Amino acid sequence: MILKIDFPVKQKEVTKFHHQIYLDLLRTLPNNVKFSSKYSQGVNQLQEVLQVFCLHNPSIGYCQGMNFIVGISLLFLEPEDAFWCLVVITEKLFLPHYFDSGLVGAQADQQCLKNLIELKLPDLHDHLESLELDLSSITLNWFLAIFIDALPFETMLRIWDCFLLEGSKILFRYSLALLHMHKNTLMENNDTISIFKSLKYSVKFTFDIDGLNKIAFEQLEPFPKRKEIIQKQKNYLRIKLESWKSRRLQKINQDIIEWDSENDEQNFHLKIDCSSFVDGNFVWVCYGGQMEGNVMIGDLEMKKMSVQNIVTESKILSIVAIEEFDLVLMGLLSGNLIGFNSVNKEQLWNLNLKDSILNMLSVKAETNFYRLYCAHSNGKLTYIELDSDKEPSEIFDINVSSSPIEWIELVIDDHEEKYIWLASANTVYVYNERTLLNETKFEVSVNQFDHILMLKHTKNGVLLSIKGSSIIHLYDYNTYKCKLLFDVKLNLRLSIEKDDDFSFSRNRLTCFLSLDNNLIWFGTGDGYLLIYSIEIYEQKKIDKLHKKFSLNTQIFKRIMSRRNFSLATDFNLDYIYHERAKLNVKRRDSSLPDKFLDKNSKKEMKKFKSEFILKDISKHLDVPSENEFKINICNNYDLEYKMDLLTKAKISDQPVRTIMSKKIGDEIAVITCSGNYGEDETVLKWSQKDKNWKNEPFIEMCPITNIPKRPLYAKIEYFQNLKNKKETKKFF
Amino acid sequence: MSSQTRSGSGGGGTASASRTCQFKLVLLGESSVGKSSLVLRFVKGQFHEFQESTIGAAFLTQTVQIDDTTVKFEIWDTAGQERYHSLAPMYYRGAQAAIVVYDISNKESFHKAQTWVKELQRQASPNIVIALAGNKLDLANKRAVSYEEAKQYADEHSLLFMETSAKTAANVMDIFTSIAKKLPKSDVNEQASRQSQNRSGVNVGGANQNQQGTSGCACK
Repeated sequence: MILKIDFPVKQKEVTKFHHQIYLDLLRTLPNNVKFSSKYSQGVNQLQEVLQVFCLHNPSIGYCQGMNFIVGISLLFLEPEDAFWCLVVITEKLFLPHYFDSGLVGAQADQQCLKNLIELKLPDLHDHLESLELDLSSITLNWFLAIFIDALPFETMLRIWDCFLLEGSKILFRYSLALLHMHKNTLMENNDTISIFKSLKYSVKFTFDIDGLNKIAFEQLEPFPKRKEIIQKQKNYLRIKLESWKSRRLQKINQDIIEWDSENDEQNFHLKIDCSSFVDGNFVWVCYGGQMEGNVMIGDLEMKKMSVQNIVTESKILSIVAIEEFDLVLMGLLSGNLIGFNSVNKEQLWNLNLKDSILNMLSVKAETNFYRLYCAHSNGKLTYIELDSDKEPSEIFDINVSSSPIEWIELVIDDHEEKYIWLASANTVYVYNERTLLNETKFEVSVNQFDHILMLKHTKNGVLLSIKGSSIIHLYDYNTYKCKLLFDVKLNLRLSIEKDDDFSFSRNRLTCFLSLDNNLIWFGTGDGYLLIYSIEIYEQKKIDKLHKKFSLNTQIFKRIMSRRNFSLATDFNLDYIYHERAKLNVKRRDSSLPDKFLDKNSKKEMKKFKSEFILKDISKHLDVPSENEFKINICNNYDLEYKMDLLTKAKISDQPVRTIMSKKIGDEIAVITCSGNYGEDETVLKWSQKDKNWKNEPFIEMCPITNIPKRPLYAKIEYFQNLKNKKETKKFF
Repeated sequence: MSSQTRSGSGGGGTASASRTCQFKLVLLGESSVGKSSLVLRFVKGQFHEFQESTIGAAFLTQTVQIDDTTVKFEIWDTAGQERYHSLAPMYYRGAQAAIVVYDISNKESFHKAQTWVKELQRQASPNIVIALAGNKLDLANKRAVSYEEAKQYADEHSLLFMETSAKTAANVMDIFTSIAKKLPKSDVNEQASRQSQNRSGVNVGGANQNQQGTSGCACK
């Protein structure tokens, strides 16, 4: 018999999990007499079954939770049957990758459950959504341990019976039934703790098996068919698997970078964090370590700057100037908002807003009246009214998200209506600036762990990018759809957003800026400054139909993946598109990049009718209607964007931290800050001369002696000049 | 400390004598270092030699009184096995506090604790209060991680640090209360009113008006 095998001691698979199994043996059903001590028969059997399974399926091995599954089986089955039971559960009944590294299968099922809740219990779904509450932190355990410990024992066994007979679909049915059963209790509560608490306890006391069955098999009807659920599961699994892979890659990359920066930190730790123009002719640059913030002020004309006697209690994360009041506002990591007088550089007031201020925006409402928005790391937005340089009294908070708000951007649409766009995690929240009502929110990537780096309003749309990535997105501010994806690293327009493009890279974008004359400036993590021009072509009418097609697939793909619906047809279509494109490439030159594919696919796609695409996809979608898609397409594809690289310059060994611009007279001056305080040429002033952009560094002066501190060549030059002057004086 | 200096500016908070705050706290650390036992000791005052292994995460609550403030903890006790690591963001997302636990008789678990601290400092909310707990102080004779080493690490990374024992209850209450003390206290009423503001747009009347409306249900 299998279980009599003596394990070779060095068997790699077993030893890998041996320790964890050993740790969990006495931590499995410890209150059951069969498992109560290390001499109990059940404990030995448990060990044997789990170890054999590691041999049988080393790619899954041992995952906590399996001990409970085997433990329950052993109460009713002989060890050998318990083993096969585990094999069936892990390999047949659950999705692949359910228990192996990353537990992606289990996570995919949670997405699927969420989707079903939305479908069958929409009011509960809305209630949870409004509280931004994720049930999966509770329901994940229902699935992973097949309701062990979540339900009364009897009830759990009944579910086990159905589960072994019918497979994992039944877990969705019962989960929904449980939520349906206790819906009223959940709906009554309005805070996280009470909801989780009431869910946990009301489920724990679900003794009414018949009532539960009635809900599960009668009241929930019509329940999605097995096939549909399996299809959903598979799609979510695919998405989860992809994002898990990219996350792993990202983590490895991050570790490398962290190691790099740790080494760097020993030399420089005073990172430049933010900068702002103040009173026309000055630029304030904030830098510092974790526990202190410092400011240096540069003179735009003289290109000289000096460190100020301003030291704050923690890092300055954001800075805004309101020239009308001679006021400079700084938002700190500690959550303090400090007002400074921009003329005498004295602190006027210091206000604690409780949570780190990651970004700020000031909007002029009328003369002598400004609205200031502070984005906090706890997901709140603070609204402040300012009518002078006095400490503000009108302050209130708006809950936006549960993730930090990293950026606030003022977006003015075609009707001159003002909106503020808030970036939090991978979601953009749009608020009406006047009413502060939430207009909409949308996700910009599939991976919910992505963070938006920053947003920039341009007349073509809103630019944004994701932290760690080198891809710039252009969003339409009327339709909230992505109009352009462009990889700055590859200098290539992308047709499809791939998940692993977001792996953390040295060439990641760190900041960007859009100028009036269709120029976009990018700063990267490896210290490059890139200037692109963006051009817009209007499509000719005849060409329109063709154009639609080549873009349709991309956009569909994007819309779907963004909303987590990558469905079969979409995939097939994409597949056809790629296959055909591939064929064409083979026939000609295979080294040609993207543009070439676009042209070819355009021809190919002529064969498909737009209606066909729409219909075919909408068949598989339950949410967006045909019309909705049609509108999106019609609105968007009259315009085509093209980006051309004009300049690329290495300006630092460190990341470019900020770029900002200001009109001085007829000229536009751009200021870039890169690297850390103490390095040469961290702050540069760029101005345009005969179509070329030239830069001049700011020279740091000692505030007391007024002698250049750095860089070295400036010092030499200065003393040389001084010497010359003295000599000329002598001469006279 | 900074939280107290603030009382006047936001409106509200000073009106009621006793306040209620809610905090999300997550426990992280290697398998079988005693995360669940610490929580069980804190929540129920019990200790089991063989605590059931945690799958996914367990949810518990406990309330402590700090001066005139009632602090409600929403506790997420996570599973320690390496492959559950990818689920951790789901639990530490939005958490105001974290206890990273290691076993003083297991050097490896201390290294694992350090990677957790790193991850939290990188990924979790920037102002999260992190406490490092060297658990199983009752096994001091098998000690593999010295107090000084851990203390030094904790100081360098500005963590709260205590050696605890869920078995003898040593320092268990202390570590939770010192976290509670370090957290910025904003009144739950205020929070609730702000939440309702969020949903119904903005009530220009300020926080005080709202507070009266919701205080009845939120206190209980």
